[in-house]
Amino acid sequence: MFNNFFKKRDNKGYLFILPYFLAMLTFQVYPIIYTFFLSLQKPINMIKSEFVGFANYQRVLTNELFYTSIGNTFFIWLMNYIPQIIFALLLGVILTNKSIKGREALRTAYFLPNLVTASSIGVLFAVLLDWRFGTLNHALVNFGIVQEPIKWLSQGLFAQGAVSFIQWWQWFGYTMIIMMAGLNAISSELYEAAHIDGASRTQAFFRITLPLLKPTILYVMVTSLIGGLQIFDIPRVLTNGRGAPDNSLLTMVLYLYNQAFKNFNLGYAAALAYVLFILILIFSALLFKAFDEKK
Amino acid sequence: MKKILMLAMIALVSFTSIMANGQKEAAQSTDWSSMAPADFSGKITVWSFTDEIGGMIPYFNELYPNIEVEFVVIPNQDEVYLNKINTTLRSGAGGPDVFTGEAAFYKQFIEAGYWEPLSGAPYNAEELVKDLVPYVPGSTRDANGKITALSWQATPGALFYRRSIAKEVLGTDDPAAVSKYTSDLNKFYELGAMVEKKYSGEKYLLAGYGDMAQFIYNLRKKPYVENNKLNIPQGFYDYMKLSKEMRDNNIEAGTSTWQPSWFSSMADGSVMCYILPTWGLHYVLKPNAEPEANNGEKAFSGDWGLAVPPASYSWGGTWIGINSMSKEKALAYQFVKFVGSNEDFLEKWAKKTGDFVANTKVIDKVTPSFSEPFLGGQNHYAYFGKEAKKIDVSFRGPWDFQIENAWGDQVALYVDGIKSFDEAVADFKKAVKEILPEVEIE
Repeated sequence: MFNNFFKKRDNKGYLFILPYFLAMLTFQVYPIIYTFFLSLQKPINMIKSEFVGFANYQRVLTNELFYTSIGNTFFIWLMNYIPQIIFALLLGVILTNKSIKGREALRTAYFLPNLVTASSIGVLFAVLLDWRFGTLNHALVNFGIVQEPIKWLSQGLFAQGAVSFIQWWQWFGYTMIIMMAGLNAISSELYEAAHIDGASRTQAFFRITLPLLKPTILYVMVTSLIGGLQIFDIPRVLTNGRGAPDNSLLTMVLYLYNQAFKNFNLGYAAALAYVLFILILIFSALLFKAFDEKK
Repeated sequence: MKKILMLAMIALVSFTSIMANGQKEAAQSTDWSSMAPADFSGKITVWSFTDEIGGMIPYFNELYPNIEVEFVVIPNQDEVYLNKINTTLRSGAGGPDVFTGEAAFYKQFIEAGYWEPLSGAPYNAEELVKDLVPYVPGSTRDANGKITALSWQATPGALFYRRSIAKEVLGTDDPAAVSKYTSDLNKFYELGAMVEKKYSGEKYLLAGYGDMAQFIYNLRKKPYVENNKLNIPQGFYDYMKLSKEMRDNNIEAGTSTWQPSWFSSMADGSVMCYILPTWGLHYVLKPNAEPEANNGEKAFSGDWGLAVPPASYSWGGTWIGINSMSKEKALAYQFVKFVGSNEDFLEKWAKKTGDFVANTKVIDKVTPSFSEPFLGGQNHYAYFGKEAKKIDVSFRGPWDFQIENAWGDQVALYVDGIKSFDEAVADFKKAVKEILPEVEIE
């Protein structure tokens, strides 16, 4: 049956796309459908579940902690995104300037943090910030800046700030490279023309660079938002993995993970995954629209 | 079309022959008692989250030369082992013939029916019980009262202290004299104040208040969840208040159990006591307090001693059972039975590793010969032998680990002064709602 089908020359193309589609159906489409099926179930024990309809979705949407986790996620993302984009843009502009020596080396240095796995960075910072034995407190106490060691990771706001800082440190180099690619794509003729017309550097930056960089900034924003909404690894390893202190590091995905793999409630976690999916979808659509209209 | 039909036929034939094979084996295995160990032949797969079992297989093969054991270690860092077991068993694909479960989640395994009940024929595990520390098989009984797993070890708890600090603070490092201070919670606190005063806050009684959690969690008579209702034991509240007092008075060093700073405090001599069980001595304290000596590069200093903790407790433990979906249950049971009860093996194992075994006959036999150089020659076996009999963990339930963690989180916030006592208790109740949404909480 298949032999005849593929003997036709027009149909041979299907053979070439078959491997990809098989992989996609098995590893992407099937899990997506199965997750929905799971989200309609409630566990009885680790192996057995019962059908509960949309009760899990109802629990997600009426759960205070779920909204806390959304708030945490957005706060951590914004606190890292804003400085990240500013740094990346500034460094990108500076490092595309051909008169600067050693810019390749600098570019590499800024990009390096991105190559370290997030979990090792998390562990490193956990050691640095430990209140009685941590390096930061030792330094502060020895220099006489503070009298008593500060319990950094017991303060929710500071813990969130630490995650944002790590994210910023890890990602501004990457964003910078993308910005530089965008900057290099802007034709130098435009700057020459502006220069001849008497535009200052600042004017050129705001009138030429920024508007033409908009698609790049949009790209960075969408990818960063999608990545930021899924932030999981650093909040997971920086404290005890349960969102301590006081759920301040409980991001949406960490909440999902803990429900699925620590509380063994796959149904509820699957419902969370779907809600998270819809949220990301909405935000991406809104962003695209906002940038589209301004064009 | 023909080809597809052929394929389907082949698949069907091989499937039925596999099924028939499985049934044949089950039928064969009804009378094992008359079989000699060498009569059992075949291959089984064993999964565990530590490599301990790997060291037991050579002993097993001495007695059962024809059973090949394939051993797979899946560390449980980030719940990997637990999830691997869950996904494999949920898929119904079979998986290992034998697998282990840890104290934090073995009750979940039992509730889910992952392990084959062993009390009835053809296993008759009840025959083994009289020689085992009662709680070890006892706490694996399922809803029908059937034993589902065994273990080579029992894990009673102790308290380990630095002799040099004891000498400077109490004027003696004698375990009996030190125990007078450590075996009572009020006296223990007093001792902490003495350490604080002696070293003006440079050394501490405990590395962290959290080290007390295990014996406190054992101080209860009822399960946390009973008739779908949450019981908060009085010990929880006492623990929270005591921890805060210890922090405020500089009696504990402020590290958290299992954190890097907790491990490093064992070596730097700043902490007097660690509250750890049997395995904690060999796998946690020895390698971290004196790593070189533990690798055999030099002799142990003997600066440690064992004293009686403020309350008897059991912490952790590994159980081993047969996958209820295994097709090689006869062979699998030989392995579980061997590891969980064989006197010859357990005696050798105890002497080789120093681990505390669960067979009472072996305990009685090896106790006189033990002397631990790390503990300055003290016989830890004699102490653990007495403690093991006191353990009662009938109150344990499947969600204890999660509930205790949730309490621990709130204790930390109270101790750090972020929350008031009442806020912490209220937020604990909210956290339990996240774990068990249907449990009634007053």
